[in-house]
Amino acid sequence: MFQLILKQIKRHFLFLILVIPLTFYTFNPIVDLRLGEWDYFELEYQLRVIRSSNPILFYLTSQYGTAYAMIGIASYIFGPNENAYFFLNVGLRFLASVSIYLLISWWSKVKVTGIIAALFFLSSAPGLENTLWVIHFHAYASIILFCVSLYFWRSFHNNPSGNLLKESLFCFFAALYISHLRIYALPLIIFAGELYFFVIDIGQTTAKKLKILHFLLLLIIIFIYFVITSTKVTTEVLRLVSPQVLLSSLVNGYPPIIHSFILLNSNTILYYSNIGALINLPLTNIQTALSLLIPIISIPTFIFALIFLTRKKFLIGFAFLPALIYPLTLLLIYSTLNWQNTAVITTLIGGTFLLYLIPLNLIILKINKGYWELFMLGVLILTTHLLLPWAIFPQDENNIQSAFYAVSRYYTVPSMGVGLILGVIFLLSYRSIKKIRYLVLYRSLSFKNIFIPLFIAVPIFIFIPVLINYHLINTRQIIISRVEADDKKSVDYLWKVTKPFFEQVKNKKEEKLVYYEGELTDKEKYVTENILRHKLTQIGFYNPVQINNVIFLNDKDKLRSILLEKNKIFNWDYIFEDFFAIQYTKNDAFDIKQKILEELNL
Amino acid sequence: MKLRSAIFFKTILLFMIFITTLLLIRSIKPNVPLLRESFSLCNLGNLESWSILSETKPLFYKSVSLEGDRPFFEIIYPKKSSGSIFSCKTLIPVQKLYEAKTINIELITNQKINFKIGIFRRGGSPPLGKPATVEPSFKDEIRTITFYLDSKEGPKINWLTGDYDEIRFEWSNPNLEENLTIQILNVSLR
Repeated sequence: MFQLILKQIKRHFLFLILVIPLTFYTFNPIVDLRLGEWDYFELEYQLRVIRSSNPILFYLTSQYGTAYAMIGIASYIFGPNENAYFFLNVGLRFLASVSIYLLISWWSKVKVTGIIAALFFLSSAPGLENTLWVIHFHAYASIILFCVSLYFWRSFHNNPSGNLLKESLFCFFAALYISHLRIYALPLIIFAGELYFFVIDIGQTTAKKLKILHFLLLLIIIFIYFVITSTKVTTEVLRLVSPQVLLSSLVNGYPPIIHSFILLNSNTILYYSNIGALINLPLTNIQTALSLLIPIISIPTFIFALIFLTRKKFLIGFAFLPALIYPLTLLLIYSTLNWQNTAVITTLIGGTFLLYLIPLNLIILKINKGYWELFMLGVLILTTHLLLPWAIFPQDENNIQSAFYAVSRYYTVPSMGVGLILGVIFLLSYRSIKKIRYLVLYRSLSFKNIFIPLFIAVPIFIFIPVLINYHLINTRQIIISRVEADDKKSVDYLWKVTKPFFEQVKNKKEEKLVYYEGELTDKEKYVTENILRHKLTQIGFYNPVQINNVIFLNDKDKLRSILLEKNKIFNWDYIFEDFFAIQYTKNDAFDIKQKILEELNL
Repeated sequence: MKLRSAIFFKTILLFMIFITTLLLIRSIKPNVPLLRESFSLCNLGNLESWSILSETKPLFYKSVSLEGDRPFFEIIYPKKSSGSIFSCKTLIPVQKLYEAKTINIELITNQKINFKIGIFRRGGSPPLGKPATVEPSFKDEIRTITFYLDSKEGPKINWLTGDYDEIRFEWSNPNLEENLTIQILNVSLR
């Protein structure tokens, strides 16, 4: 067994040596392990569900059921241990990157492609934010299932057999049912893949019936999936943008929603929410940045287009047109891009990358069909996972998935797609550079080694800004903002001043009633009533499933009614030992039990 | 067959390139939609479409619709009320909202109030800027308040999710010395 593990470590040594430090590096230098307000809310809610009469039914029928089940099980096991959730999340993040690496290395038969995809996925800022918001660990579980499902699906098409058919269908169903929340576009990707195989298999006779059966069963599963998910949708139906307005905007060019679509995808390359810091560092303002970046980006694009046109590859040359005119259109309409002008650099770099995918698609198809499949898989993962939830899914808030607000959890799976695209580009660039003849550079620019300039351009345009952004700015900013988040501050302060009241309590298993007063904000009231009881479990009160044994309230009538209802008014033991009254001030807290008892006329 | 699929693939790609280029160029010179005529909202002559939403109740409210005269809605609050919300149910088509730049309200009030308006879709509302201060009208002088639909903080495209169904009017003034009368004469998109 030990030897087997050692063999596997040796086999994937390069991957492990790069990925393990990166998994932990991103959390340097400040590791904040404390849970936030929302984390506590989710944990408490799930504990209540788990204690309810029929939790299984809830998990099977609610819209977020399976994700909730994971949180519920974790909170049942870990209780109030904040570090445990954090390491669970980091562990799943690592496993997700392993599954991406294994899938893509197996598919492309080259390890380096898988390593690059996994590295990009690990270092992406949205993924990082997902990890720091610990309750979102189920997004990583989704990615693992996504990879497993794709592996078996592709295996079946490589070598159709009855066993693989069953495995492929089972994994597809499991991935969809267990984690449809974050991998919405899996049915679409599989369907596109089936269509592709249908076209290239025309004329072939091997296992034709099996493939048709596979396709039909997949369709049935997709149908069941839609029935299940549509019955699960319980929230108020508010779509993000009405289809009618969307179409009008595209046709009229106002508002310039095409740039919003591009921004949506660009966020995976350079994460918009922290981009302000990147602009302030080397450049004084956005316009200067634009005027510097546009020639740097446009001139190579023009040269590429010219090379192909002079070599009579007209379609490829023409395919550079959107990427060529895009920076110029951005410069011209920059002032009207009201809502997204802080994200204009993201849109420029990410958008150019996105539009380069059109000519790259053609070039890679000519070079190697196998890599083209992988490349297209990356493109589909990137675009569909962003556009589908944005355009189709009903929402209960207007802006939650808007292109104008980068919501990190929606970018976790798409960053895997970008990693995959970069992996393929890097591999082909590397292969073409091996063929370079240094002295006759121009002559060596044959069709296959057009990747030489790309090999130079890719690091400049993509890797360098990504590395600067993610590791020097975003990481620090995100972590610092999490550390300084208001909810955590108020939790710390309120817990610090409340803790002394409970430290000397002897009977920690009895029910406690706490009345509090003071000029607290709504958020602080929420923290007092919902989070402090979780904190009490850290100093020996209850076990995690008994947190409702303590009630914090600041309503005197309610206090009186609870005391009357429980017939505790003349139970002096209870009043002296299990009832508390606290007055919060700005810096401290005081005991006001006597005063409250007098006011209640007890 | 192979040749056919290659032609098919190339045609799709050419079409995609063409459309992308066209959409990008279109954004440089957009066809900014315009609402040619102002679009009236709220049925001022129909009392059934109006309701009071906050706990502060008015003394009474009425819809006046006389032949040959402009219909209006009148609401009177007792003195010492500090503020209230009332609403009217009305269809606001999303296409009209897309074309409109502002939402305007013509009113007459006998006291200085802070006045705000909100459009709602199934109880959800987009931000429409800060409340406006309305001075009392002398000799029934009509006051017009304008709220801009598009703003940097809440871009219109973000909340154009479909048709809206309600308009809420919110006023506040903590020092009402006498009964407050508000007459709403017109609510429109422009």
